[in-house]
Amino acid sequence: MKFTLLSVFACSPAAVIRGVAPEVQSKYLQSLHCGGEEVALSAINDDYCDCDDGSDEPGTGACSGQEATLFHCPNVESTPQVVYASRVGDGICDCCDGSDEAHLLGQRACPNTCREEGQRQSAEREKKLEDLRAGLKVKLETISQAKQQKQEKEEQIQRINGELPGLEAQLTELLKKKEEADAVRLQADCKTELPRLRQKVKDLEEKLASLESQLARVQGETTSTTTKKVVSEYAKWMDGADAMEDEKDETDMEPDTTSQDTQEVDGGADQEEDPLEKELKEMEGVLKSNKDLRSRLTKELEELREEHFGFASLRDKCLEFKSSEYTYKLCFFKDAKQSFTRLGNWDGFTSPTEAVFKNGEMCFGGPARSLKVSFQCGATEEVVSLDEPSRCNYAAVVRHSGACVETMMEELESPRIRHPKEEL
Amino acid sequence: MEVVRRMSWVFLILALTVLPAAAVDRSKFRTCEQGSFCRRYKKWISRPEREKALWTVLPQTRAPLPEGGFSFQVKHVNEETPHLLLKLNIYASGMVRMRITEIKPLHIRHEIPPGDVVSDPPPAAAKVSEADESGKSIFKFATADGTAAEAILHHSPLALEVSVGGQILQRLNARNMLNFERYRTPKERLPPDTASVAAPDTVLLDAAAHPNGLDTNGLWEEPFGGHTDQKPRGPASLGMDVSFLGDVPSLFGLPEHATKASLPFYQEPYRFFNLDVFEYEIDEPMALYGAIPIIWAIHRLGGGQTVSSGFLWINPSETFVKLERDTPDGKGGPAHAWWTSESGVLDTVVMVGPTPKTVSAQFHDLTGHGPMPGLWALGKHQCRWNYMSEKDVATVDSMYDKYDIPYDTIWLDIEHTDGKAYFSWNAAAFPNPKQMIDNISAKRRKFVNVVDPHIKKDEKFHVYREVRDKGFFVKKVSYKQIDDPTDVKPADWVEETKIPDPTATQPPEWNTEEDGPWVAPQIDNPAYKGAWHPRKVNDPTPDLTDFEGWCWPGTSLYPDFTDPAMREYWGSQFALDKYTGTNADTYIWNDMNEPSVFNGPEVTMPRDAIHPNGMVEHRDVHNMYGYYVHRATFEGLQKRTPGDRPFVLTRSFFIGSHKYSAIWTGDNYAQWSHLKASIAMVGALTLGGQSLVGADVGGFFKHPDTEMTVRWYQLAVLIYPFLRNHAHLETPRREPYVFDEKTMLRIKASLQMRYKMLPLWYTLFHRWASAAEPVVRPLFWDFLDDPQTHENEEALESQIMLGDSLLVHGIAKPSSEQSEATVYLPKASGWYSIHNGAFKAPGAHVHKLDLDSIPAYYRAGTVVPLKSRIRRSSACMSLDPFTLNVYLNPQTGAAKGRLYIDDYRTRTYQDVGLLCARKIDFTCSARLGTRTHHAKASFEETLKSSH
Repeated sequence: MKFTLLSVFACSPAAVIRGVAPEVQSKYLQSLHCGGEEVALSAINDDYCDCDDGSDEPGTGACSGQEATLFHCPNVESTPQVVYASRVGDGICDCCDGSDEAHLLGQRACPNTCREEGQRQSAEREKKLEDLRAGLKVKLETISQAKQQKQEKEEQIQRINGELPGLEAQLTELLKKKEEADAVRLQADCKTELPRLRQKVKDLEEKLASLESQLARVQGETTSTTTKKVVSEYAKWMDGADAMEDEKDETDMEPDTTSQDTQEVDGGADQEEDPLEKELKEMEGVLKSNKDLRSRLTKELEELREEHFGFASLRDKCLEFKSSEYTYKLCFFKDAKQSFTRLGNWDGFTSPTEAVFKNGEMCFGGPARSLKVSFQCGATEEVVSLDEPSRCNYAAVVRHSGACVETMMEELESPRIRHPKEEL
Repeated sequence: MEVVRRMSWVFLILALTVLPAAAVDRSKFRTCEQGSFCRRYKKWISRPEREKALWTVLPQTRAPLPEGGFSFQVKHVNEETPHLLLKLNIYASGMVRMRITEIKPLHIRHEIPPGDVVSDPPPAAAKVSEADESGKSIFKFATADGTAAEAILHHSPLALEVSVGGQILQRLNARNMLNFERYRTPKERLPPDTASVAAPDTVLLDAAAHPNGLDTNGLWEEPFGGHTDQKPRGPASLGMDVSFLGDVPSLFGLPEHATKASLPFYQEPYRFFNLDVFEYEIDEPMALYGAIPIIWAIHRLGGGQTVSSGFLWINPSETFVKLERDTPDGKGGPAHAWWTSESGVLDTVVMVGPTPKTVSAQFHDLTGHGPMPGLWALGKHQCRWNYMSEKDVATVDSMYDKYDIPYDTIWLDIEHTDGKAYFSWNAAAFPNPKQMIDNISAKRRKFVNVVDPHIKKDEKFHVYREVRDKGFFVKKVSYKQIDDPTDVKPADWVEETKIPDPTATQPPEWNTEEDGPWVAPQIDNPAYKGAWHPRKVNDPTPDLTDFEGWCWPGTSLYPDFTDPAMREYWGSQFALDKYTGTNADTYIWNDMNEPSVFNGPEVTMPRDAIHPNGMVEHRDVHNMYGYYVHRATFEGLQKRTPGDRPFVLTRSFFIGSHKYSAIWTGDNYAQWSHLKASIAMVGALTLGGQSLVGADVGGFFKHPDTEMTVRWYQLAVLIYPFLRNHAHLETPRREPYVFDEKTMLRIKASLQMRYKMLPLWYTLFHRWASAAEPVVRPLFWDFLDDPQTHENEEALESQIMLGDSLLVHGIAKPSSEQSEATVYLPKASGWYSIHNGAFKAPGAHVHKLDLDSIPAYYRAGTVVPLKSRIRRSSACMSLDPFTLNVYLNPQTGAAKGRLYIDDYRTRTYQDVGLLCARKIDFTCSARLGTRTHHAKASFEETLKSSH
């Protein structure tokens, strides 16, 4: 029955209900109800709105202002679309086939531009498809790298976790040895040396405790300086830099404690460096750098969850954008700057394709600056636009393969009906 | 950017150090006591034996005036000859105008050119029968509706009584507070030809010359806020009182003040001095951006009769008006007002009513009728400081479309310019402005650009160069002190410091032959008066240089818009081939036209600046500067697109601005108190003839929460004729679509309701343009006989009428503080809820509140024209059918309404009468019960040309 009727439609377009998509036409063959009452067939598309949901006027503008019933433009040779009823007969050509303004006559009538539009759209789609394919390829690679990195990191953490007890035992051993050696030496000059050595042991214990607590703090801390440090040292680790360099950095970061220690230690063993002492110091360094590394790796793993692996290539990367006034620098997982003004620190992803930098420099009498990043699918990485829609609230659009998804392919290959809320 | 920062500083400092909340900086703005002429006037009116006659009308000097009416000479009791001239006009619509000026002033007293405020030709004169009785001249006439009226001019002391139907409504100079300071020569205490010059210190003459503790500070120069106002012309202020008689429960009007609808009787006088007031406060008599010095009075007379009258004070210099009562509790009985202005002439108009409708008609008979706005001007305006780029503009536009929210006009604020040189574009952000605006036009929408009157000092800026070369900029006077050429050394002036000692005698032993001739020794001359120096006066021909002030662009100059030639030049700048990047759908916003001068006294132009047009001092024309700016813009747009209806929005205004501009209430605040105050502020403006008015929806400063935003929209769509959403640069975005979905849908529903009601709005604007009826008005305007509309707090301050059919009650508190509202429905045949059609009898009703709507009721017996198809702009709806909602009078089963249609955008309605104005009468033979009936009908109407 249904099949037969559809074929009737195909043969006699006059019977087609205006503004209704072919696959919904059948709905109008049955009786139409709205507001608990049946609507006479003669009331359909009679340019008088009987139903609040617009269902009796799918092909006119009579029920403008609602969005339950939309007008369907076939747009043959281009993409079919639905438009709000308010667009039907409002004197503006919305559909390329002009069907929304069918009443306009002569020169005012909307010319059918579907062929051009269709060609343009298909060219655009082709371009987008190409870009999407390339983007998906990049994304796949990025994800597989990210997975590998994740594994490596987990292994590293495991390795550290495995090694730490041994290292700690060695440290204890060393401390014990040192104690013994000191005791031997003490026997030689017990009376003079004993207090000093006791003090030394105490100092060392304190130092250990303080190192431990520092480690704990570093692990727990998420302040900007730590984040900054973590990223840069992680980079060095990736490049195979040795632990000594790490320690040097650490010295830069916390000059107070380290220099104090050094002075003390140097002061104690000024004339002849005790090899045992040296060994002890080195062992402490190794322990610390391992723990630091572990906490950094843990943080990185938390920062980039599996669902955002497509964006892994942004790690340790800065994208620049030049406006007429400023140069913007977006360093992902770190911070964003407008020339010398910090717009915010990385605060993570807020959706599959959005991320935010928060708590930037305070605005004059206004809020702290922040930057919202919307990722757009593309094979290349670039900042497409960067605006300040409200004062000190910045918004960037960034092309990145991480935003490419397989389902886009489907949409581009066989475009769906365009809906007004997708116009943008 | 620099300036923005500075503004922020001001705010920050205030916020941190002075008050918990941001507030207006009072130290910047003068009070009555801080201004010399107002201080003088207060002293003057508190003089002993004030009731004694000073000025007397000489009835024998009565002469007809060439423009109609009569003149009388007026003599001061302490002068030998009359020096003042009183002009009396009685206009047929029911107005009595009294003017007083100097007969032969030392300097020209500034008078507003005919046509600028009072129509030219003036209103038709009434048929008057005159009679002189002892001590008074009586003029009998009839108002337009045939009511008998009288103007009685009392001769001594000068006073004018106006009565209607035998009842005196107003008496001018009732309390003998008249003051008129004639011009005098520099540093002279008295003006020329004053009788008793013999003892100048004791002459009781005027507020600047009397023996009762005269305050001479500020007569010839006056410091304020680090500026010194030079007054080479000396004191010239004037003042008078008026009494509103009968039992006067409320006074209305006096726009623009952030005060209540029923005007409070503050201790501090209301001030009219157009200013850019940063973060103004509510419930204040402080001056704001514009001035329409009109008072509306309700008089409850004997026998239950209630009438209404109006009083207009036409003076563009700084003006104070103080409202007073006889009783300390400030309620009932007559009400009084005293007025004082810094310079010019005394020009007052009594609009005798006796109904609110006739007062409005009389006001517009005097000042002219407003033009029909384009329909689009009544739609939604979307503005912000600032949409930053072409892309930004396109995005806002398409987001409205995305959610199918109607709007008509998108606006750009100052950031669109190249360095705040108006008429230019920031090429980086707006490389193709014409294309951008054309895209807006293609959606059948409009575009408004800001063009401020201050001109950037920049050799590269053609407007600067051209205005400078034409000599049109307002000038600064570099006063030099010179010796007064009229001051000659008195003949008896003794300048010798030493004289021979007169007591000395030649000693007897003096031998003239040996000692030479005897000479008396020199002593100090006791008569020595000191070295004589001529008095110093300001050089009468001082150097004039272009006045430079500071505004958005930095150093800026201010054209003399009082000059018709300057206005002509300004208007020509809007031509499409001159103002690049614009199209014929581009309209203009004049901001900062008080004028705002960031580094000037009270953030405006120094009063001693000189307008080259007539060498008038700025003080003489200050309150009209903004008017002349927006008028020039209006006339320019008229020339740019002949036949089109121009649209100009102005912040500053004066009596008569309604002929040219829409007005908004300036930089308000996202606070509930500002939301509420907008009801009274809009009502006061419409009573001042300005119907195309509104406040920034959501408040300009700071950010409203979602509930305040929704409540503001719900009120604004029903009572703001000019409906604009605007926001400060530092606030987050607040376009309807940026909110959560629930909020967005509530805003959308409000805007859809506005668009649905556009035919009603448009019809009401026709009533305004053709019959002088305010589009929105306080309740008393329609329900004068219902005393609750004069005194019920809710009815006065929370409610207002849209036309004669819709009553709206604004909600100005969050639901956490207010869950229900008491709505007062005035005496009528009943009311129907606009939201659900529920019928309510007149009286007070408790209305449970929800967030979806605010209380609003259609009056029973009205037919409301609507359009049911809500599209993206008003132009898109222009050909759609009308829906008539009929709200029956339950007693008679009848309803009446009006519908006005024209082409919505051109002047053909005016030029060739291409319009359709219909009265709709609905009668119903059978009782329909309470059901809501839908009926489909059609009637065809062809727009008919009268030609």
